[in-house]
Amino acid sequence: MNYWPAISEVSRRNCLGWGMLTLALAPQSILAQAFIEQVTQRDLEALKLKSDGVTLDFPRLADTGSSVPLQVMVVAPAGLMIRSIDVFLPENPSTRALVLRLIEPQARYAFTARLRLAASQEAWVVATLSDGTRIGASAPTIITSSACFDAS
Amino acid sequence: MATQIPSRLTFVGSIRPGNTVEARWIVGHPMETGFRVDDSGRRILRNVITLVRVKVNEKPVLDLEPGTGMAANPYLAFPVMVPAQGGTVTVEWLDDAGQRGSVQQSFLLEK
Repeated sequence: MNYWPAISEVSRRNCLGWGMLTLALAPQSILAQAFIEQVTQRDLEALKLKSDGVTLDFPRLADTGSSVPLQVMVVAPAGLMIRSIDVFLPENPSTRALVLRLIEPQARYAFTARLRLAASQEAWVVATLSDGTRIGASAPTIITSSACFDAS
Repeated sequence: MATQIPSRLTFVGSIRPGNTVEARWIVGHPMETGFRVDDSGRRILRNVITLVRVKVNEKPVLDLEPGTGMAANPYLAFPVMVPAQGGTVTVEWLDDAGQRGSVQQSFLLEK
């Protein structure tokens, strides 16, 4: 049995409908796929995340990208909890730097880590809340010597 | 035989039941990205820590999935609540080469 529609059944209206549906779902699906795919700065900006409650302490200038400290504090909006926190470095060859999954969701969470940066870029922190929504913020840094490809 | 990778776990703060202290974990892992080549031009295989699990009294509280964006000799500071009866915090990790490691630290309750 042939499950594929005949060419004549693929109308312009159908194509338009599916296209609009894909565009409508795109921003949400970017992060869902982020664990296996790369995300860009533009993808992350397109999410238009609210940054209320997300505080990043990231140096504006770093001599070397081999070890840049990132301090994060996330406070969930009232009535919600934090389920996971992702750190993205969109200019790195592998953009997902770190994922923290809280086994027991927390109302507030703080952590510090050291990141490896391939280029000057913005570090993005995206927290997923108990209702499935996301909040996030970014902080830019300029590095004078990159990591990832050299011996650092 | 794989070499032993050093790891350390310390607590900062007042270790009293119900208090939240900062746990600081560091491990001497090279976190090889897989993007580098050696002097003869051959690609160096990727070997990063891919999974870290934090347990308090053997109960998992945090799972961490680092990528190549984590610096060599990974360091993480995170909050841990001190249980009423005290106990231990264990951090276990696994890397791309299949090597595992763990470090454990006990809460010495203040009086």
